[in-house]
Parts: sequence; C-alpha cells; structure tokens
Amino acid sequence: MIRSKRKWSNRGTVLLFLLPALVIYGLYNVYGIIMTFYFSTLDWPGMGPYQKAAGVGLTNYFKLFSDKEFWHAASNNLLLVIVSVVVQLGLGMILALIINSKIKGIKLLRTIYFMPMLLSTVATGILWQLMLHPYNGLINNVLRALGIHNPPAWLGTESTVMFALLFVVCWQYTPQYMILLRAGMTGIPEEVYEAATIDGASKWQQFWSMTLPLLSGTLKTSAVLSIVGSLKYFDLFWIMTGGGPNGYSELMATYMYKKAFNQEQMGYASSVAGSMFLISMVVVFIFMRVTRRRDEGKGGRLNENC
Amino acid sequence: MKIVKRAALYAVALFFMVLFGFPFVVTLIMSFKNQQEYMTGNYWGLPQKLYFGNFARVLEADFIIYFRNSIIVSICAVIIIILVASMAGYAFAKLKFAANRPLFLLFLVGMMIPVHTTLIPIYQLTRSFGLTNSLPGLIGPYISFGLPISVYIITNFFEEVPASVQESALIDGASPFRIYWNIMLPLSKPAISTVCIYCFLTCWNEFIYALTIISSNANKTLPLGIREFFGAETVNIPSVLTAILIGSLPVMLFYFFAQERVVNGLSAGAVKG
Amino acid sequence: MRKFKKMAALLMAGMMILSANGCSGNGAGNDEEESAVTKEEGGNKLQLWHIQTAENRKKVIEEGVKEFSEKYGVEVEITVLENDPFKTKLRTAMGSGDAPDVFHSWGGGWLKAFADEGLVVDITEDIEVWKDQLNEAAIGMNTFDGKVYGSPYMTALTPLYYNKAIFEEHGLEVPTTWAEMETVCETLKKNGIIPFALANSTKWPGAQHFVMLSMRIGGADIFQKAISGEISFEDETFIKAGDMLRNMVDDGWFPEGANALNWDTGDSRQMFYAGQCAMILQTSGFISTCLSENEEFYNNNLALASYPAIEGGKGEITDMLAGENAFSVSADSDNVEMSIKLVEFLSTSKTVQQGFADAGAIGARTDLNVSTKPLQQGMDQLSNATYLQNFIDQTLSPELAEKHKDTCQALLGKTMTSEEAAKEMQKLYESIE
Repeated sequence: MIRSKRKWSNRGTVLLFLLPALVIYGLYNVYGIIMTFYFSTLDWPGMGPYQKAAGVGLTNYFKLFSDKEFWHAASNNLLLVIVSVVVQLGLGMILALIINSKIKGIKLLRTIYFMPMLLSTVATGILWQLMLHPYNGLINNVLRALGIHNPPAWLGTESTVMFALLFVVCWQYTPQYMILLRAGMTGIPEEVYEAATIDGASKWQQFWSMTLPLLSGTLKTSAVLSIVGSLKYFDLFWIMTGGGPNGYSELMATYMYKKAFNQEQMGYASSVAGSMFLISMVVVFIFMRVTRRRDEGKGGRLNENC
Repeated sequence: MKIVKRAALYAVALFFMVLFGFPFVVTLIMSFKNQQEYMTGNYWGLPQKLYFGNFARVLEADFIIYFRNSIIVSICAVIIIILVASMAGYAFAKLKFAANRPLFLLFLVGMMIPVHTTLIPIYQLTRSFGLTNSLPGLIGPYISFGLPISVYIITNFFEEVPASVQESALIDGASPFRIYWNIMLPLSKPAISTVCIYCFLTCWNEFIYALTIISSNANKTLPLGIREFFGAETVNIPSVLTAILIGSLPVMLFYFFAQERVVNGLSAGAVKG
Repeated sequence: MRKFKKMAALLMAGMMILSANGCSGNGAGNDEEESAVTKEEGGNKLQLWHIQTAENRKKVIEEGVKEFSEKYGVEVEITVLENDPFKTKLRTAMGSGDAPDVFHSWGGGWLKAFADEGLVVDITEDIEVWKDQLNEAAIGMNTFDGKVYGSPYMTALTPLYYNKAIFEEHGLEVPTTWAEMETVCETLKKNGIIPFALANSTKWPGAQHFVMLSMRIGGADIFQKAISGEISFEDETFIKAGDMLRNMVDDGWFPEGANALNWDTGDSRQMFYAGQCAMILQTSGFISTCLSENEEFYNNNLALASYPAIEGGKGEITDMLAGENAFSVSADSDNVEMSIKLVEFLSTSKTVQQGFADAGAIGARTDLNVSTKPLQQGMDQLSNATYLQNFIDQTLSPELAEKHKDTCQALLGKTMTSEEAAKEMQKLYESIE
C-alpha cells in the first residue's frame, strides 16, 4: 500500500463526489416514492387535497392481492420481460456484430438500424397501429396480396394482440441494445482477436469464448435495464391498445394509470405502483445474486490509509 | 465458401435494414399526402398530388420553438446527469467508506420507480419551487429519471478499471479529484456515451411530465407540440407523421455524421492491458 | 484546485444559462401568446382550458376570445388539449391550486365529482341572466341538487349516420324498426358491406350501442332508474340488450377486431368513407369532423337517421342519447366575476355560437342559422326529441362509468355473457352507492 504524503479529509472527498447525486435523488426520487407509498395508504380519488383523505392502512394492498386483473397484468409483464431479454438482447447482439463488421454501407446501416429508437413512442404507436389495421393496414394488405385470405385483426383479437405488441416493442428497443453492446465491443482491443486468429481460432470460437465473456458486464447491464424497463413498461401498450381488448394486454403500469386517472382511485393506484416497485426490487436482486460479480471487480478502492 | 458467407451477411443486413427502415419510408410518403386524400382511401400508395401543406402547417406551428425547448431540456439534463452520475460512480467504485454498499443499493432501487405515480407529488414539489411552466422545472425530474441507471452503468464501468491505474496516479501525488477528472472520465467514454444516448432519448420523447408541468406555448417540448395535431375526435394523420418526421430528422442527421467521432471516442477509451 | 474552480465555473455558467432560458421562456410566452391585446387598466389574465382541438372549432373559440378580450379588457390565455391529457392535467392542477379560471366540462358525474369537492363555482344566480337563450336540458346536465355549476356551449346527440349513396344503390330504406334493420343488414352483408363501422378501443363508441338498445327495450329512463336504485343493473332489459349486442357481433354487423380500432385516428371513419361500412352510430361531433375531413362525402353521402325502435320495447325512436359541453369556473380563480362573464360569453355570443354552427357543431343557443343538410338534420332530431338522456359515461360516477365501458367492450369481444356483465355492474354499484 503506497502512502501518499498528502492527507485530505476522506469524508469530505466522499461527500463532494456524492452530494449532487444525493441531493437530486433525495429530492425527486426518494420523496416521490415515499409519497407514493403514503398515498397508497389513503382512500383518495386523486382530486382535491390529499390531506383530507381517509387513511386506510394496508387495505389497498389486501384488495390488490385478490385482484385478478392486476395479476393478469403482472403475468403480461413477466412475458414482456422474458421476450425483451431474449429478443432485444439476442437480436441486438446480432445487429451489433453486423455493424461492427467490415461491410459496405456501414454508416448507412448504423443510422437506419438506429432509427426506431429516434421515433417517439407516440409516433411508433400511431404508425404501427395504422399499419396493423385489420382492413386497411399495410400489413394485412400485403398478406392478402400474398394470398392469405383472412388475416387476423392483430390488435383486436386476444390470440394475436400480445404477439403484435411484443413485436412492436422489440422493434423499437432492439436498436438501443445494439448500441449498448456495440459500445461494449469497441472496448475489446483488436490485438485480442488477432492473437486468437493466429492461434487458429475460428470466428465462431472467437465469438463464444472471447467476445461473449468479455461482454458479460455489458450484457448484465443490458439485462438489468431490460428487466426493469419491462416491469415498468407503459407507453406502447397504452397507446396501441390501452390495455385492451378488455384488459387482455394490460400491464401493471397501464392498470395503475387507469385506476389513477380514469377511475378516480389514486390511493389504490398508488398501491399498484408500490407493488410494482417491490416486485422490481425482488426480481432485480434475485438477478444480481444469480450473476454475482460485484465484489470480484478488479478495481480497488481507496480507503483512509491511502 | 467465403462468398456464401459474405452473401449471407449482406442478406441478413439487408433484411434488417428493410425491417427497421420501412416505417420511415411510409412516413415520408405519408407526409406528402393531404388528410382528405388519406381519408378517402389512399392510405399507403404514393400521393396522387404532392402536397406540401403538412410541412407548412408543421413549421407554422411554432415547431422551431418546441424543437429548441426539447434540445435545451435534453442536453442540459444529459450534461448534468453525466457530471453528477460519474462523480457518484467514482465514489462508489473507487472510494472506500462505510455507507458505500447501502447507498449504492439505494440508488439502484431508484431505477424501479414507475414514473407515472410520482407525477402528482413531483408536480406539487415543482410548484413549491415556483418552477411550474418553466424549462428548469422540467429538467429536474428528467435528471432524476436518468440518474439511477446512469449511476449504475458508470459505477459498473469504473469498477472494471484496474486498481493499478489509480495506484500509479497516487504515486504521482494526485488527489482523488484529479484522478477522477483527468483519468477516470476520459477512460469511461463508452459508459458515458451509453448514458448519453439513453438519457437523451428518454428526455427527448418524454410526454407526461412535460404535459403536466408545462402550460404555455413558448415552453412546450416536441412531444407536446406533436400532440397539437391531435384532435379530440380526429387526428390529422399526415400532419402528425410529418411533425414526427421533422422532429426526428435533425437527430438522425446528427447521428449519421457524428458516428465517426463517437466510434473513435469509444475505441480510444479502450482499456489497455 | 484549478480544475475544481473550472468545474465550479462551468456549473455556474450552466445554471445561469438554465435560468436565463427559464426566464426567457416565460417572457417569450407572454409576448407570443396574446395577439394585439394591451390594456390600460391592469389586465387580469384569465386561463381558459378546453378540448376543441379540431382546427375549425379551435378557431371559433380563439376568435370569440379575442372579441371578449377587446370588449372587457381582459387577457385570456388558452390551452387546448384532447381528452386524456386534458383530464390528467386538470386533475393535477386542481389538486394543487393551479386550476385554470375557466375550464371545459362534460357535466354529469364527472363535473359533480369536482363540485362535491368544492372545486367549482356555483353559478345558479348568475346564469339566471342568460339561461333562457340556451337549451334547457343542457343546463340541466350541469345542475346538481338544484345548483348550476356550468354553462353549456355545445350540445351533442347520437344520431345513426348512414351512407345514402349506398342505400340508394341497393334500394334500401332507412330502417325504423328492428325488423327493418335486420333486412337492411342482410342485404348489406350479401353485397360484401359491413353494416356498422365501429372503432371501440376507447370503449365508448361500442357502449353507445348497448345504451341505445337498452333505452329502446326498457324505455328512455331505464338508466336513470338504475342509477337511483329503482331497478337493478341486472334488470332483464340490460340482459336482453347485452344478448342483442352479442348477436350483432355473431351476425357480422361490426368489423372484425373492432375492439382494437381507434376512433380518434379515424380507423372506423376510414371504412365508412370508403364504403366498406354503411352506417355508424356516433355523436354529433362527427358532423363537424366529416366536414373537415372529407367534404365530398359530407355533401354527397352523409345522412342522419335515428336508432330504430325495437318491437315490444318501451322506448321511442325519438328518445335521444345526448350530452353537452359546458364551461365551468374553478373555485380557485382569482377573478371569479370575469370568469363568469367569459363563460356567459362563450355560451351566448353570436360569434362563438354561430361559428360553431358553421363548423358543423351544434351550439347551445336555440336559435341558430344552419346552412348544411346534415347539421340541420341533427338539430331537428335534437329539438324533436321526446327524451334526452345524458351520455351514460358522463352520468355515471367515474368508477361505474369505467365498469360500464369495460363490460360493453367485453360483450363486443364476446368474452363476457350479458348476465356476467350485468352482475359486475350491479356488484360495483352496490359497493359504492
């Protein structure tokens, strides 16, 4: 342990680095989530001052526990998580490899692949909704031209709605993971691959035994992003189906929104939000345990003695 | 064999290009159509008459203002997030103190907060700061949205940096701040660019907080502006799509041209040894 | 240390830029917002929020407001949003004392919820001055316990629109009984035309069919009776209506996947204009929308009829499902007097009301000049109505209204039987009333 001749107040240093983050975080995030939990103990429609609403303790949570619609929504979220991680990361990886390779028109490819991310959710929702129109939509027009006589009403039939929605969500978000994974890939020096090629390793072998392991950090980050995002997800499902038909494509977040703003039950909605929060925590912590690496990190930390 | 592989590669690349790109072609075609033409049956075909009214409407509708506001809000939020998150990331990854693990977990937990619930408390908070209907009032929440995930990403990245880097800097007598500013930050370009992209896009497309906090026209952001083309019971589809197109065009062009620098920046930051 | 100072300077600069932008944002706002209205006597500024986002109707309000500003020397700042964002924003604002002075409302249960919380100004006395110029039933929809909380500026009803060109082509007569309707629909289907256009993702268009069926079967006041508890939501009227609705789906009277089609983006209107569907049950707002979206269709094809009577039912063909749009004054307003004047102006001024008529919307005044046939037909239906039932999703309390819409959507999607739907309504009703 090298000791520096200079001494500085360690606590002060830590504080300096952490303070801005803590202040903003405390102000908005912590305050926000505390209020959410507080609201969830009220019987409050959402209008007028909440101070006047009656406190009902954990009643909302008990109600939630036996709420079939909520659990159906939660199961949709689970489906979304699985599909997101598998498809968006998997496809993202493939695309990252493509745009990392030596191929003509790569600049154009990179831009086009990235485009779905640039479209706002509203735009994506409207566009795809139009294209999925059962009678006049582009998709079904093409299908009919190909000879398929009765193409389904994608967003209107229970058997196809989740498929259609998952497709559009993946369409919009895969580029994000493509970028993330590519950023990770560029952190791997060329020499590593060159050495492997000299040793006779094929491209496949290089990918599986070198690229993947070296990307594990990025993959883990992407997975966490994807999981949390999927558990919280709201936008496209709300815009394209509003959780329909008849609540079939409901997500926890759309259910919460309905309760809060359409059905005047802000207290109950807050308990939905609180539950989403708790569920996310549990899922992520399980995930982190399973892929435990944090303390194996190579980065050493400075302590008071340095 | 190699040719087959090459061909396969191009085929796959092309397939995805079409998959990700065709909706834009559709949007472009649509933007030259009149709402009337669209509603009378010509949904997907080429416009019979090139109509420029959509572009006129969009630019007329204070679009530049909305665009400017979105840029200001997004860029400010991103810059602050990068500074604040990287400082915190450095502390979590490289400084030893008792509360390190618990505080980091606390930040992690912030990622799980569903945005819509905190709408009302945050609105009231913003109001008590006197910041409603102002861009700073919007920037605050936007920073808070991106902070937890950015701290997470950056901390993870910093942890990968070997201890030797820091130790050798110490030998040279550097203070932690210098280490942070002169060494860690430049090294973390991949992580920072990731955070940049993610947070920028989140802010750029955010709607519900903008809707609640902003009320006057001069402060509206792009998503709110696009909403202008929505009627209570009718949506001028071609106009909306045109607005969307114009809104995403600058960012697209920027990305197209700035790619080179981003890539160079990323590989320059590669960790050696 | 130098670096630290540099960073601090950067941050400060950043802060300054931020606040400068914030300020100029507000300043520019004030400058750009109001056109040419500078007043000598300290302009108090009024905030007006409404949902008339359609170009033509939006303009009408803008011009009306301009006139008002000039007349009274008060600036008015307008915010226009459509339904969902409007409700979210209003609710958030109401809860924190930032509510606009004057805001749009749909009357009924929605407004009552605000009134019960004391968030709306009681204008019973003030409206005495101008109420005779307006449609009485419309005012009634803003009246609770004898107190008036809003003044109507637009009225609406729910006609059955049909494409007269298609009817002519196939030799069809407008049906006035259910048996006639069945014949018409059969003919249409034989010719590959879907009888009704329907986009039900927002749930209320489909629910309107259920409501009309119920009113025709059980009598126009059937819902009032259910709400007051005189009859139950499981009454056989509702069961029968639910069954009929499901049969309509089975018989292919609606488009496939109607529950996913979006009314707002025009999914069903497209089909109606293109002749893929021959009829559509919608609010009178459609008259105005059609005029601006497809003038040719408006002039040549659009015609209005009324939902047919059902044999053996207690309802008349002239019983109407109607509603109104009103403006209310927020209790938080700093300038209640001026706000009330603005409300009066929007309800009664010729500029505004005639403007609406020209845009194809039915105003609240009872004495307007109407130049186009479809609009005239609509107004005639309104004045000849034997009963005016307020839109059910506005009359019921918000929670019950949602359940009503949800169950109707389920009926249309055949995921619920009419007994199940009725039971859910009754269960919810009992738990909250």
